[in-house]
Amino acid sequence: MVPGGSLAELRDVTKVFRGKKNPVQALGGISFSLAPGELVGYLGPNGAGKTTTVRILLGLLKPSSGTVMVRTQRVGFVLDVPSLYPQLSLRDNFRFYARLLGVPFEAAVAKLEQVGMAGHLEEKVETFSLGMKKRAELARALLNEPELLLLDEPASGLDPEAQAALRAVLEQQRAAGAAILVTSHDLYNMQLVATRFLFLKAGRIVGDVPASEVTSSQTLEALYRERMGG
Amino acid sequence: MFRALLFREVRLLVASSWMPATLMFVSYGGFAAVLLLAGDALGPGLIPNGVDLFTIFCAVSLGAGPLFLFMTAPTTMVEKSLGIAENLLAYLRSPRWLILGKALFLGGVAYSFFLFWSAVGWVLGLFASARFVGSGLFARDVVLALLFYPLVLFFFTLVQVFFIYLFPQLAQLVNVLLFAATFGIFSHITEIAGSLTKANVLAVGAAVALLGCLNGLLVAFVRGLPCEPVVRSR
Repeated sequence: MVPGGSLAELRDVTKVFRGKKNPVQALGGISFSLAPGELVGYLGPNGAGKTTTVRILLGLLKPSSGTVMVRTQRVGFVLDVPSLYPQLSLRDNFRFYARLLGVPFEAAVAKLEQVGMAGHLEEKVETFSLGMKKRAELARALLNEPELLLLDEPASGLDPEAQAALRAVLEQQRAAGAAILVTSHDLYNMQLVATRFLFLKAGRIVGDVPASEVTSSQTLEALYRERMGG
Repeated sequence: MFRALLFREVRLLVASSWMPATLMFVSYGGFAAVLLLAGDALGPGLIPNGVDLFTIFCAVSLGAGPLFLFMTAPTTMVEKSLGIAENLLAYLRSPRWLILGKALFLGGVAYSFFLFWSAVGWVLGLFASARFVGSGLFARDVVLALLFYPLVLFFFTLVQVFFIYLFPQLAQLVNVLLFAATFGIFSHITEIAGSLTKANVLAVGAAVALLGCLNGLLVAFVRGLPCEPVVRSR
């Protein structure tokens, strides 16, 4: 852990995708940092650059310019694509990821218990509902006791009960000192858990607002509309 | 990490590709049995000098190698198209072990089948009229089995896995081309290795050296690959 400092930082990061036709600028110079114990709601419309930011922080994409610093090896993440093999059982999937991360399998089962999925170990992932898959993905993201947690739309497709469970897990992780970035369109859930909001529009940060200034989801929605110009 | 990736490959093979793997194993046994029976029926006099049953088995099973890769490709395609590979890359930070690990594993499976049935053929050949390994050809056959064959197989496997991860839209075409290339090797391997002239020994040596270089270059290229091309090619 970095005492008092940030666990991740982006400085003037741009990303241009060189496509077959025209280059597309996904990020136009964004800067922000994530401190321990902070849960940042990363909000913006589709195509704003939220997923690109997460992928850059994970090292999956290289920024076109700017600096990216991640000051911990213990990074957990949920991407917008699945990580679990559908043809394998939940046990085999978690045994694999536990081995990959050097975590005892018992600890992996404990993470599944945390999200209420430990009773499905022998079932194949392809038989799971979307909500079950999302919960299992979250448990996988927590396997390495992450100090930095990057979640791309973790609440999409979850029923209200599962959303409440997700919020509880996020609160737990934040209280334990993790720095968390959550991309979402779900303003209601974000307003309940985030300590800070970043508004992203067309690859640029157009607002950085502490949660203390947001008293309700209506306030957050009004802020969102104002920042997005809608 | 290596144990984890190996565990994953084994589980995926058992869960999704056990049928092609079984077919491959049985086919190799079938090739060896047919060759021994045909060799017995024809008699040793009808097999050209310098060519033994093992050389023919080597060529036939090498031809079946890309077929095995072709049959196991869908599992890798699923990993790639669903985005599971991206998650793995986020942990591994490089596609090198994802690609090299899979190529080594699949190539290793096909190669172990080949070695197993070669050994069975060799033992059974001791009791047949046409020897599986011709007399005086043992050293040449060992070079083929332990150097030439695995190098060709690894090259094919690595090329195929590379294309699945980086150019999935071309992967099936590449597989067909590799399959066609085996016919070229099929027709030349017995010729090159057929007799122990100085020129042929040099040709085998040159082929082994060339394959070794090609494999080395490919491995070096894959080792230096960043994650982005794999992520963006989904």
